[in-house]
Parts: sequence; structure tokens; C-alpha cells
Amino acid sequence: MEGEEILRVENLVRRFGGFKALNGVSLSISGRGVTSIIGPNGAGKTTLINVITGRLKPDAGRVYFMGRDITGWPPHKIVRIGIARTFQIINLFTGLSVYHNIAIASLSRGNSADVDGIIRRFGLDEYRDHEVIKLPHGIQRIVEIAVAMATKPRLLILDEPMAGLNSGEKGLVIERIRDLEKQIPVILVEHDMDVVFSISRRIIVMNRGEVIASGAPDEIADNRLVREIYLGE
Amino acid sequence: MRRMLGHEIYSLVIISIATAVIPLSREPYYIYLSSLFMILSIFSLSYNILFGYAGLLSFGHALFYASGAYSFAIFTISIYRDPLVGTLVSVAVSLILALLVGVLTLRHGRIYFSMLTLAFGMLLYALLLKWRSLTGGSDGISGIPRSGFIIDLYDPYARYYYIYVFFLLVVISLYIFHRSRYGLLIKSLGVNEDFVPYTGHSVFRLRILAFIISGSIAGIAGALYAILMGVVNPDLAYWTTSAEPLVATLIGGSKFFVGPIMGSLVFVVITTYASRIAEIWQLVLGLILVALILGSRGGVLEVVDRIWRARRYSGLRI
Repeated sequence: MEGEEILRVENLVRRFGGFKALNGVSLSISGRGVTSIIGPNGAGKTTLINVITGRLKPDAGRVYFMGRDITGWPPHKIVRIGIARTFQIINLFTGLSVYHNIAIASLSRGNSADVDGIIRRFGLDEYRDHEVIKLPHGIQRIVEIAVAMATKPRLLILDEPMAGLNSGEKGLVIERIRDLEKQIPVILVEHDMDVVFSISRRIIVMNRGEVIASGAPDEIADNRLVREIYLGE
Repeated sequence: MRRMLGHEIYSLVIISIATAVIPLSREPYYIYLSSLFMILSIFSLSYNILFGYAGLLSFGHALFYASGAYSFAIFTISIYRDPLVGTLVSVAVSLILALLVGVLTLRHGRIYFSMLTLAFGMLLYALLLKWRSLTGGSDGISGIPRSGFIIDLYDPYARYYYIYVFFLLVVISLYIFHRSRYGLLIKSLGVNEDFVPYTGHSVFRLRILAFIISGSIAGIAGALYAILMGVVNPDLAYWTTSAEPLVATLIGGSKFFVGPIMGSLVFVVITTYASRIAEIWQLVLGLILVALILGSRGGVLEVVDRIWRARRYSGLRI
């Protein structure tokens, strides 16, 4: 399953005042499938995503995407090179329709994007002209992923896509992620361990700004350090 | 969706026909007021690209209005005597100025942007006041030619329809822009600017695009004002002039394409008729603004929209 290396981060450091949110994080993502990043609150997962996607600049370290050094690039340039993301708290053009949200994202890839095709693929036909703010939370999550996919990414990063969803809505989102992982690599930051262990090809565990373990789900489940630090056993 | 489109076009057609037939009244005062309305509409529509679409509150939009008016006056008096060429030169000057000011102001946060636009507007005001040899200082420039080598606007009806043609051109082009993909991208800035980069677009570039379009159209309004009045003075760059399209847009409703036009109509009517009754037009305008902002931030059209929505009407919004 290991294919071409898509993303590599080397010794990333990011401080907030005296607090080191990232303390020399290095990792590499290759091939398709879901790579989950887990860890307790404050482990540095979202900071890592924010540095990779240009929302934050690192104090030290490098980020490479498909072999290119993209460290410190602005977010829109990172999206254009092929990294799309979603957010913990839903981030969309909530005052606009589903169609317009997807159209805006697809315009970054020129004229050719098939907005209605994306809407169909994500099962959003009935919500096409609805204002996003008026949609149920679970549907908004799917719209968020559809918007990210409209930028034609080569890597998709989902930051806690299950946050605030009920079990029915989670099922919908998992279904979409399973479809997507066949096409492109997906990085998933998630707290719901059932979801993580059922969907991931590989799991990276972070704690206090460092990567403490990495491997297949069964390896992580058996890892003594992970059980001690993360699961509290 | 289709019905919304229908209502927008419907109101624009009514406005276009109404302004076209005003000269049939043969009343110079109505013709003058209608000209003022069209010029303020152009100025306010240009302002709303920043305010209603891109979510940028400019306190210095008069910068482009005044630069349009002055460049028209200076060009037609000193370089080439023709209103049409003068108008085109005004647009070019305002466009270049918008690009320069945009580069200097648009990288900053919204509050700083607002303050910087105010500063640039007042900078031009000071320049117009002090550079007497070019601008005539506080007297301004008078004797602006209305007839030229290509077209003749000496006749007041010709002048009116010259303004009318530009009014129509601006309304139609901005309407096409409003429905276009670029219109949508600029609107995205106003809806959630923080999210824009994650859809692959540069906030700065979109802001610059909005600023250039807005500035050059304000330049047209300035040139038309110079043609209508035959005289320009530094007050055109003063901050109170910048407030006029803001007030008109707030009255009409910044979230509606026709909002600035409706607001301009109300503004011209109030400033004209309330001042006739007594010197209280500022008070009347202030009360209307307070009532609208407290009661309905979307202006007069929001009130109308709410009533129609209650009757299952799908809305007039941008």
C-alpha cells in the first residue's frame, strides 16, 4: 500500500509564548487511504494541521508536499498546489447557497469544474440552492468536505469532522470519507476512537507536541506507551 | 432563484424608463434632480462593491469621485476639449489611483483600512486646496467645457442623456458583474473573508479587484458631476462627500443590487425637499438612518423584502 511520498514534515516547532505546541514533529504520508492523527487535547494535532496548511508559520522545521518545500506559503497557494482542509468549527460561506460555496472553491481551479457533478457526488442535490446556515449540522459537514474537494486536492485534511454530529450524521460522513480515500490520501484528526480504528490505514499518535507512535491500527492498539499516555491504562 | 432575478430586472427596468422620461416634463429642476440622482446612484453602486460585496468600509471613497471630477476639468480645459475623451481619462486616472491606494491600504485589517482610506481622501482634499496653480485652490475650477471636438453637451437635454447613457452602462455592467463569477468571488469576501484562502483564492487580489472596479466607477460619477455643474471644488474630496454613498447605501440596503439606487433616490429627495421645508434635512436623514439601522440593517429594501418573504416571496438579496 505504501506509494509515492505525498507529504513530509521535518522537525516542526511552533511556540505560543512559552508553550511549545509542536516540539520537533516529523512525519511522512504516502499512498492513498486514511491516516489518522490522534492524541489528547493540547497534543498539537490542530497546530500541526494549521502549520501544514499555512494558517500558522512554524518557528522551525520544514514542510514538503510532493517534494516541494511549501514551508510558510500562504494558505491560498497551498490549496492551489493541492492540499485542502476542513475545520473543527464548521467554516463555510454560511450566507450563500451550497451551489455558490462549491462554485467559489471550484473557481480556484479555473472554468472547467463541474459544480453540479460535485453536488450529485456528495448527495447534496436537494440542498443545492439552500443557504448553508439553514442546513442541519451533518449536512454542513458534508458541504464542507464537498467544498474542499472542489479545489481538486491531492491531499485532504479533515480536522475533527465528527465533532457535534449524532450517530446517523456520523454514518453519512464516514460513508463520504470511505469514498474519498479511494481517490486521494486523507489525513483525519479525530477524537472518536471507534471511527478512527474502523477507518484508518495508519494512525499517528501525538502527545505534548511530539509524535509518540505511528503504525497500523492494531499495532497502535497494542502499543504500551500509547495505552499509558493516551488511553490512561 | 428565477423569480428573484425577475424582480431585480423588473425594478431596474422601471428605474431606467422613469429616468429616461423625466426630460419630457420640461422642468429644468426635475431634470437637474434626476441628473443628481443618477450620479449619486453611480457613486453609491461603486461604493457598494466595497461595502456590500467585499465587506470593506471605506471613509475615503470621495478620493476617486474628486479625482474623476478634477481630472475631467483639468484635461478638458488644458489638454483636449472633449467631454467623452475627458470622461474616459477620468476613469483611467481613478483606476490608476485606486490601484495605488489599494496596494497601500488593502493588506491591512478592516479598521486600519477604513482609517487609511479616510487619510488618503483628506490628503487629496489638502492637495486640491493647496496646489492652487493646478486646482484653483478653494475656488476650484470653473468654466469646464461642455462642448468638444467629438460631442457637444451644451444643450441641457444632451447633457442629461449623456449622464443617462453612462448611468445605464454602469447599471448594466455592474449587474452583469453582480451575476458573474467575479461578483460571486468578491461577495465571498463579505460573507466570510477568513475562509476565502481555503477555497484557493487570494484575499488581497480579490480586494484589489473590488477596489479598482469601485474606484474607476466612482471616477465616472465624478466626471459626470463636473459635466453637470460646470465647476469643481475641493469639497468633492472632503470626508462628508465620502459619507454620501455610504448613507445612500445604508438607506437603500447594501445587501441588494438595487439598494444603492433606491437609497440615492431617497437621499436626493430628502436633501432637496426637507431642506425646502426648513434647514432640518440632516435631522430627517439622521432619524431615518437611526430608525433603519436599529430596525432593519438591510435598509428600505430589507423591509420590503421581509414583507414579500412573508408572502412566500423568494427575496431580492445579492
